[in-house]
Amino acid sequence: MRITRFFFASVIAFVLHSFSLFANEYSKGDIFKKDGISYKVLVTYLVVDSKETTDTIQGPDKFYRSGELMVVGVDKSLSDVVIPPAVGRFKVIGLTDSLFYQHEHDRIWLPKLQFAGNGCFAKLKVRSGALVIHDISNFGLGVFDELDADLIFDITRKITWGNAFSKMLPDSSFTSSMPKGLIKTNTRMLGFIRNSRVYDDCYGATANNYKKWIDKAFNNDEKFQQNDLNNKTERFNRRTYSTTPRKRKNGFTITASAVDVKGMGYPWGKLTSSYYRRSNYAVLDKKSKKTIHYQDFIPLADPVQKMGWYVKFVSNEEEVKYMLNGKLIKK
Amino acid sequence: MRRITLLILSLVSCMISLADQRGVMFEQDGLKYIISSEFTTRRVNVNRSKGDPEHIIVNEGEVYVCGVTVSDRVVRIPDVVYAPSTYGRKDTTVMAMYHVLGIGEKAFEGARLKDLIIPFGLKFIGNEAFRNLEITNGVLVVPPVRKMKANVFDGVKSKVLFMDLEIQTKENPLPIVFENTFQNKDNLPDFYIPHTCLNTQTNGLDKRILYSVGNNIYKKWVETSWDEIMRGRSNYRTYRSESVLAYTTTSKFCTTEGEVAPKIVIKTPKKVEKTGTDIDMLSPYVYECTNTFTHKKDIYEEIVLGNSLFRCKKAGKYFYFALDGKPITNVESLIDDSGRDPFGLQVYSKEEIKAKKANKEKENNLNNKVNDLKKAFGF
Repeated sequence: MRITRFFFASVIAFVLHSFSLFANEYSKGDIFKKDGISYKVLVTYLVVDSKETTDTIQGPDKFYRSGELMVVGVDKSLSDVVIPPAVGRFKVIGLTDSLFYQHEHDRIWLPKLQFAGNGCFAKLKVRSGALVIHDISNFGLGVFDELDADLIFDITRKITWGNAFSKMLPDSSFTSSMPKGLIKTNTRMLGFIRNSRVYDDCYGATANNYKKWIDKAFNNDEKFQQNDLNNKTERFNRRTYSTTPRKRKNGFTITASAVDVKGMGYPWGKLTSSYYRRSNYAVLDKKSKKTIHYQDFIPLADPVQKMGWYVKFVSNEEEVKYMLNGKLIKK
Repeated sequence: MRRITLLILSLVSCMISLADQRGVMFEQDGLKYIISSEFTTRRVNVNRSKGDPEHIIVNEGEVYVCGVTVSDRVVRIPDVVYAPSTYGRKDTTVMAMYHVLGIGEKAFEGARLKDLIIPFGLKFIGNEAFRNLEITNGVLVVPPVRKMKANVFDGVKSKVLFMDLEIQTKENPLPIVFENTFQNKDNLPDFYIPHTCLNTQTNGLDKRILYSVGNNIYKKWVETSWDEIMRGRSNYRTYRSESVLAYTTTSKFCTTEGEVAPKIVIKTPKKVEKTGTDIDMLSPYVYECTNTFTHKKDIYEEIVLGNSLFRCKKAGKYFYFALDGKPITNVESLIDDSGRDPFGLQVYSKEEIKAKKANKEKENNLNNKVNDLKKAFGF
């Protein structure tokens, strides 16, 4: 009897947990903490669930908020730090300023990221002996200043180094800022860093020699190396959806995404003028084949006017409402 | 007992017949060298005080490093060493300039050195030459060498940096020949090459075992151990090509001044150059002598030049010529009392000299007797 109760309790707990996973509806600017890591929501946009929605959107309740996160805090007490590629429906895209400043951890696993803030890994000590960077597209200032470990660039594409290996002195002049350990990369990927100063300061290896480096950085733990494969939440998201059945020739196809905003700088500071994120909805009118970009998209239900549900798009200049078949609703 | 004595005697005679001036060992600055070849050339030297050209005869040759006698210090293998000439064994003040050809088998086995500086342009590194070598500075810098034999780096207790994977010359680069150099994989050190060498095609080397390093790391490693050589040279490639060409070109000289003097060209035999099999073997030279006096062209194994005559060796026999190319038929007139020729070569053994002396005395006695008889009979 007790066993049966325990079984049902477990099933209910699992279902509730599943609901809670999908029910994470964070808004822009929210900060939340999970498994010792704090995240800030940088941007949100609406997506649908590919398992729930096969053809067309049935109503506004079938939309979920997805978006991009920046890591803003890591508990110093964590021995192994695993920054997941995504939390719920939210993708982790960057690390804030001085995130690991003077931290000491056994191992750190990082996903592919779009940015790492100023001094992000400065004076960090990694006890396994190496910090592995998968792809990080943009770096801030003095990112690896006095990093107390080897630095392995496990990259697959070209990197914009910015001032990753420079730091600013009190008199506003710049000086070189390198890690204490060695800089290493896969010999096959040297072409991606050929034009940077790192090229002359780095060690290359292929095949077994390179694997030895990576294995050592993760204490020969194969499971730890596969952290990116464990989080599959992103696969449930669908960012392109239609207001009418896909084959019908009227209505809209909406694609949700986040884009850069020129002139706003990075989320951690205005180092460049080409990076800040806001939501973007590319709305394709199936009939006229025209695409218009909006900043916001709000699916609404209007039972009073008996219209079922309709859509509202917001841009800098205007706010427009459409029927699901693409017909404009006049104010 | 008789048979055993005969066997020992025949073995000793075999060893004696194999011995020649190649193989003589000497020691200098903590390194042991073995002479592999020697030749004589005649050079023009401009006398600065008088302004007149002087013709000097110099002995040159090749040696390879066969051992090390010091430890815990920086050892530099030079491009050339000066040592008493093997041709002038009688007179030890005659010095020869020997180019360092390579590093012999197990030359640095088990050695512990602060640093080992290897020059550019070596032709070979022998089997297990660096076996269990320890470089306390941390990096063994190896410039491109034409041929590396089996298990050269077996058990080396430091990093090994290959400066290049091919030999740069003014013409096409020459590949390095690796002959089972990395055969014993269990006991290999970490090998490094510059990033710039990654695309170099190599035979006998699996590049997956190599690490590559950037220019800054390369310079740091090379400059610490090569400070002496690299000083003032911003581009090591320039230096490298010079040193390789230094003694691979053929040398020409005349035995004396004037247009009709015999011309001698020192060459590497074509067979050797083509097959490359003799690259690490002894004496790769032949001497092509165009004798303007006899109008003959001959190829000799050895030529030694003196102030009034020169000596050639062909098929184990020695021939003597005056500097203008005239053959000297009366060889015995050149041999001194100890049986040596003017170049110090022992032509006759003591027994032969004794026998000859005895013969001469007999002849003299006979002549004296004949003369006495002639006088007695009034002829």
